[in-house]
Parts: sequence; structure tokens; C-alpha cells
Amino acid sequence: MDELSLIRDAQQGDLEAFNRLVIFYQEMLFNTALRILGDEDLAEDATQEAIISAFRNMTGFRGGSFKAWLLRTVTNSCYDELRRQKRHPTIPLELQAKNNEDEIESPYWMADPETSPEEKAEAGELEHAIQHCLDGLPMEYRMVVILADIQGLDYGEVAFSIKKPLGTVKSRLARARLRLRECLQDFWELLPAAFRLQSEEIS
Amino acid sequence: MSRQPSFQEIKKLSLYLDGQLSSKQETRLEEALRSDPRLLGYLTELSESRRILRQTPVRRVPHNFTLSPNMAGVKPPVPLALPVFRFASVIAAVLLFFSFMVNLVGPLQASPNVAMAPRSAAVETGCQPGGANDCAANPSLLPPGVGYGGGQPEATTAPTDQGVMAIAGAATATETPAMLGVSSFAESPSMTPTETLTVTPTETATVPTATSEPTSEPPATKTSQPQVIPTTVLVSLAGLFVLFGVIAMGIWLVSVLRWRKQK
Repeated sequence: MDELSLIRDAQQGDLEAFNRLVIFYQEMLFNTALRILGDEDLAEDATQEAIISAFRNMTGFRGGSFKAWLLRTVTNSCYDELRRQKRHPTIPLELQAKNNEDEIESPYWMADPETSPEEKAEAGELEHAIQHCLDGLPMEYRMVVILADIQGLDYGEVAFSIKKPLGTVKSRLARARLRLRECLQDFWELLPAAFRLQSEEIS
Repeated sequence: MSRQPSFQEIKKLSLYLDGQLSSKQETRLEEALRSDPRLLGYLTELSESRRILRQTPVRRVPHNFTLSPNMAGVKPPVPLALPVFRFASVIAAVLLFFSFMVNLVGPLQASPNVAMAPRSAAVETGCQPGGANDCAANPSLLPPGVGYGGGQPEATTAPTDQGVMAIAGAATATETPAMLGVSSFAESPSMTPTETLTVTPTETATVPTATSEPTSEPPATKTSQPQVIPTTVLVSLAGLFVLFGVIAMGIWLVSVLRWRKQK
């Protein structure tokens, strides 16, 4: 995929080219929104809004990391979603649906069929532990640690995505890691074997 | 005995993990790590946390987030001719509306005042042209306040409507006021009172109950409303309105279909 030419075409209003970029980046964008918001439905909405906004503002992209630019749109969209949630708090219907045995419209139903039940269970535990610790972080720390440690952006890209200076990113990331370290220690015993053994060996 | 590391030291550990320290700072930190096992413990735990975060399971997207033209707000390009025809259609519609209004309101405003004057002169006096009561020849027959230009106030001797109609029936004709007024105005707006009196008794026979039924239907030739704007103009405007509208819609449809085909 020639990203640059696709970006150029998308900037001229070519929806086809833009959709090819979306297909390439949508998983990263959705997972970022999911980690920030901690709710799949909200993440879905935020991702879709971010993608629509990205298309409308394609001319605003003036080079640099397109990935960071897209993540900036998603973080903005997540902030909007959180503000909306604060103004109009809602109780998700999923809480009721999970108790229903006949419910098939759940994320578990759409899981990868190639993974074994044990792997699924381990992944679920790990995900739960991480999400729990992320949810305990203040929003500004959460954003930085998700972008840097989960999405693998470098410091410059993180700074661009959250529109903050590099020094702020460094401080926030250090504080976020410190807090996550404390939180994850509580889950050490519950984490999957691979992680537990390694941490025990180190300690 | 090692102490609790400060935030600056934790920050340096975090930067060290990401390779963001200069070589000088790195050497200094590594020396500190060798001498301070607690600091080393922090580094290990931070590194572990980072490693766990990097292995966060990636969720599959519930559906594709690709955009449809509707979602993206993309609209087909508008041909240059479309706004021209659309504007022309609107103009034709506006002109048509005002033409109707003029035809509708114009006669209603003009007829009551202008047409009633001859009626009152002829009917109230019972004037008969060419006869003994010819008012034009003998203005003294007219009552005070009624005449062909001036006189005393009408209110002093003006008869009631019923009286007027009775006089009209006896002396000249039982023509309804509306008939008289409208027909005389329509056929000749500049008609003099004398001409108004040319209504023949034959006509009165067609409307024998005019005195008691003022709403009875007058003959067709006398009811036709005057048109300020001819019907042909109205029809032309309506035609233009429809024609331009259809052309504009056609242009729009063709452009949308062509655009969808390209997509």
C-alpha cells in the first residue's frame, strides 16, 4: 500500500482511497478508543466519529506521521465522548444482557475461533487486569500510556497526538507507569502463567 | 540501606527504558543502578509493566469503519446548468403566483366603488332615458344629493334599499345592482350614466325576482370578470414553471446516476 498516494487522493476527496487507509488503521484506532473509554460500544461510536472527522479534515493533514494524526482524531473523539458521558450518564444494557444465556450478540461470540479456550481465558484475564488498571488512571496519564506503551508511538508522535510538549509527555508517562506498576502488582498472582513466572524470576 | 527513589529518578528510569537518555546520563544511571538495588527493583517492575501493556490483547473490530458517501457527506458534483434552470423555474412560479393574485384582487378592488355610482343615479331617481323622466335632459328630477356632479348631502333624503329596489322595478328595470354595476363597468369603464339606463325591459324579464332575490344568477355574458393579465400569459408561465422544473430535475438525476456509476 502506497500510503502517501492514498493520502493525497483522499485529500482530493477520493473516498475509495480514504477507505483503504481506514481498513489498514481501523483496528489500531478502535483498540485505542476501547482502552481509553473501556467500553466497546462507546469505542465503536468514537472510532466512527473520528473516521468521519478525519475524512472531512483530510486537507488539514500536512505531512508527518499519518498514524499519529489519526490517533489525535481518535483521542479528541474520545474526549468528546467522555464529556458527553459526564453530561448524560447512561447505564449500559449489556449488564443485563450478559446474564441472559440466549444472548448471542456479545463480543465473546465474535472471538477468534483459532485460539484455544485456555488462551482465551488467559487473554481475558490479562485484558481485564490491564483495563482495570488503565481505568484507575487519570485521563491525561491514560492517554499517554496507551499511545506510548500499547500503540507503540514514539515520544514525538505522542506529543503530537495529545497536543502537549515533549516534556509533559515524559513526565506523564513516568507517572502513569509508576501507578500502573502499583496496580498491576495487585494482579500479579492472577496474571497468566507466562507473565507471573517471569515476574517471579526477576524478583 | 536504600531509600525511596524520587520522581526525577523514576522519570529517568522511564526514559532509560525507552532509550531517551543521552549516553552521559545513561552511564550515570547505570552506576546508580549497580549501587542501589531498590532502584534496580523499580526499573525491573517498570519494565515488566511496560512489557505487559505491550501484550494487551488486540480486539478485532466489530465491523468495518469504512465510510459510505452518505456518511462522508459526499455529494455528486452539481452541473452548471442546474442552478440556472432551478432559478428560472422559481422565477416562473413567482410570476405565476403574482399574476393570479393580480387577476383575483384587481377586479374586486375596482368594481364596488366605480360600478355602484351609475346604479345609484339611475335607480334612485327612476330616470328613463328618452322619456318623461330623462334626468340628463332635466336635472331637476334628481333628488338632492344625487346627480351628475355635486349637490347636497345624500343622507337627508336617501331612500332605503327596499325603496330603491321598488323604484327601480317600477320605473325602469329590476336589474340587480351587481348586474348593472359589473356589466356596465366591464364592457365600458368610461360609460356615462345615460348609457347605464339602456338596460331594456326584456332583460328585466329574465330576472323577475331581482328585487326580492338580489343573489340570483345574472346572464353569463354579464358575469365574466375582467382579467388584467391574459390567460395565455398565465398558461405560458405555468408551462415555463413546469418545463424548467422538469429540466432541472432531469439534469440532477442524470448527474447523480453518472456519479454513482463512476463510484
